[in-house]
Amino acid sequence: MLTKDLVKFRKQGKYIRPQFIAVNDSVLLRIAEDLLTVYDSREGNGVLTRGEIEELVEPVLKSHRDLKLTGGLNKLLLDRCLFSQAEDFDYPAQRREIFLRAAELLKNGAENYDGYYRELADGSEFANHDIFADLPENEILTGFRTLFPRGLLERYNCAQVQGLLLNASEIEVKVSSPDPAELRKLFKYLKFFRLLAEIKQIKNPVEKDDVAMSMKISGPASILENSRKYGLQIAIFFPAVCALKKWQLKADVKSGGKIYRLNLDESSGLVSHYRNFSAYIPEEIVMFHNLFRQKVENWRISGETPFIKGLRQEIIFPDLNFRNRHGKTIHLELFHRWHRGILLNRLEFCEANPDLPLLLGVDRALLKGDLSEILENSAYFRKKGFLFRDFPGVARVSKLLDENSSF
Amino acid sequence: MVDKMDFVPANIAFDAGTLLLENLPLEKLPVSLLRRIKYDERVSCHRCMAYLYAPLILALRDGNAAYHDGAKNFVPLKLKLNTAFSPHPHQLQALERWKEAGCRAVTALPTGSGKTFLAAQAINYLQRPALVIVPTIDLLQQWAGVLEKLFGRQIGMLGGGSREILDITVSTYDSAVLNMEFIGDRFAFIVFDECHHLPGTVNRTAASMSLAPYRLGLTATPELEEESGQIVSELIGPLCCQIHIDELEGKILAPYETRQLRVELDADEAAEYAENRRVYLDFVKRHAISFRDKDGWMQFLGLCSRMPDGRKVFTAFLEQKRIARSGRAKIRRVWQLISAHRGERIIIFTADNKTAYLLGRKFMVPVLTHHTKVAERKELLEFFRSGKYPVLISSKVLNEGVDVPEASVGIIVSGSGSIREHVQRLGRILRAGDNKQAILYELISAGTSEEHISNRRREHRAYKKFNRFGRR
Repeated sequence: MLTKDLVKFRKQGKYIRPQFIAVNDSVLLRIAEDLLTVYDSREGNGVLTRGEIEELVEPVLKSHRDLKLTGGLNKLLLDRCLFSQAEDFDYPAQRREIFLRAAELLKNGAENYDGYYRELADGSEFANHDIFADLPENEILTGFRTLFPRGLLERYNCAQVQGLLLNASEIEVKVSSPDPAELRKLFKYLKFFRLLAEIKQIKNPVEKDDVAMSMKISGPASILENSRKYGLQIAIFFPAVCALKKWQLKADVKSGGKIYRLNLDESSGLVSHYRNFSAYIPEEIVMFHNLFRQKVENWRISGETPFIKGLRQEIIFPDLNFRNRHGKTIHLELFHRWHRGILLNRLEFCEANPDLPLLLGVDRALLKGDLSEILENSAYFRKKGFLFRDFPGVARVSKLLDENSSF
Repeated sequence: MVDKMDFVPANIAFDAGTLLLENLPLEKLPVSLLRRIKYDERVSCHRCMAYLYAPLILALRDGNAAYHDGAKNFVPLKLKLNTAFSPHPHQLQALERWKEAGCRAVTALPTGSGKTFLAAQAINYLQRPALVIVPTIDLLQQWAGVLEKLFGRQIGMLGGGSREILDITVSTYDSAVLNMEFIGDRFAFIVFDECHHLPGTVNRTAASMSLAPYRLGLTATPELEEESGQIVSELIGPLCCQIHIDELEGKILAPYETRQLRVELDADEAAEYAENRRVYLDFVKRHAISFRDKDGWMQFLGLCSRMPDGRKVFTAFLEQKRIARSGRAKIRRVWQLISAHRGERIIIFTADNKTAYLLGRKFMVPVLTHHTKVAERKELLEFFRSGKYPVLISSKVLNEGVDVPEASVGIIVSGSGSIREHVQRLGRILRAGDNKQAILYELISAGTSEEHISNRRREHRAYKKFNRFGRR
């Protein structure tokens, strides 16, 4: 993320516009490559300290007249670094030794500074070391998540928007011709970053027969305080927006004490780095899929899911979806040890909607306090729920699917 | 006729630092509260900030409205204070005033007058889970240590690498802000140490997202701008008790004096200072930059990065500041003062880390800054308190709250124009001891901008009794 001083934008009337760079500009690609060479050259140059990196990148940063731009690229690379302590030398212990000696000399009346310093430095480990050499500028680069030069420039453009959104209290996103899979991913991010959305179905302004979805996205307390508390969450969420195929974003951004309007859409050419959010599939899920395919004949796991509108406009995205040979679809939502609040909400919603084609699986690790009793007393859970340890068993799920295939 | 709403109890739930309010009998709530409650389309019910929990519950009770409280997530505790000490009269007075204010108020007591003990008395009085919020990691450790001794139970810590939440927990403001949306329902009582930090747009969420019905603000410097004062009053409560340094001097606090020492720059540095200052001020004048304007500093930085001579001007600005803050003559004077106060415990304050480390390298004495790792900072403070280290240098982390009762000499090598910072620094050396006479030196580079800065920061009752150059 870029710090305030590195965000480049223009104000025109009531609008604010981020200053994007051309990601195929050969000069900028060269600067990105030069910077990456420094950060990615640990093996060639041996260990690099933070201070040495600063020295090495300085000529590259100054090679372009736009210092904010090069500073911004550098900041994005620094965010990808892992630094550790300085060399293998116990500085705190050595300092303790010299501070104790200094204390003795001071207590015994060291009035002549030169004599005092000479006596301390004599035979001290610090004759060859800076006493505070373990300060941040001496930290060693131990890890760096590399990327391609073009990727860095794409990240930079995205970070320009994120830098502005840090000062927004809410954003309005319109998604045209939404694909359920895209939306599901978007809402996963929304949930992940603890944001809320006020959702409306609207007519697509461009293609009249098509539908579009409008979402006002903010944090729980946003309607109460015009707070920018959620600015960071909104900024981190933004790459999920620009990963959509067709989108528009509106935000009111505070800058220099005034409010400016930020308008963006897919024509800005921004590239999201959240492309692979759902690419990782936990091993347990892969195993469950394989076992289910091998052992269950009546049902198969379906890839696509329509979302279910839940309580208080919550959008439910089931974890697994099953379809039988007659076209009957049943969903399964799983609740793990950190899902108590969501489970209570879901039970309330399901009790009020007993015909939902939704099975509930609850991890036994969640059964603390009064939750066992709540589940026992839930008619919905008795019929469509089950308990599991870590991940559900195929036989248990298959049995429950058969039992509930008629609802 | 019975109100139909009475049959559907209101439901109150805690949600990420706010309260979700279902079936709310709006007609039974006072206008002052209604103004702070909004209907949230996103979740189809009313919502308000969590800090309104206490007035909301009281209003529902007053209106005989049925409600289900699913918001609070705490139960009473059985606490016992393990101490032979009785509160001092000024502590008893503060505690009583706070109780009279409905256990939601701010007390202003000088540093060293026992604010921690007062808070412990309040926790003991309430017998409920309590969260103490402090500005620094050093204070986090200090509070946790004292409370552990006083209550004889493990104290939770949130911040500085710790994340253990227990019935009594101490947190930094930063960690409280990050975590309050998750833990804001777990404490009945919040103590805001150095509560003048609260009004900042970020810090205030530590108060507004907690439902704690009981609140205590502690500060030695309650003077705030009007808007900030209103925020503290809304989120904690009114100022219920204020006791000044001079009221406790010689009784609870050590007698003290402050001395301003003007230090002439060395001739070459004086010339260098004058030249760099001229370059810097010419630029400021030429571009009509006013640092009184809110964005004057940003304007200066922006012009420095855009104008052809900007880099040179910015370097000149930094250089004149460096000379005024840490000229050679000042450093020699620091050595003289260290030598003159042999056998005493000395804290040296600087405005920036660079000067702190410069002095640390020069005199080979410990430096405590935000870069100091937790284990080492704990050891530095312990060794300083025990007398193993007679001198400790710090830029800002020792400005507030940290208890170093044995320190009797303070040397301000450089600082900002902030009155609060100056009063807090004085407070570090005021805790009473046997025959202790505290003295605070303020080194000013003569003929530099430091003279003006010093005059600004001395505008406080604690300094008024001293003449321009130090003596009573």
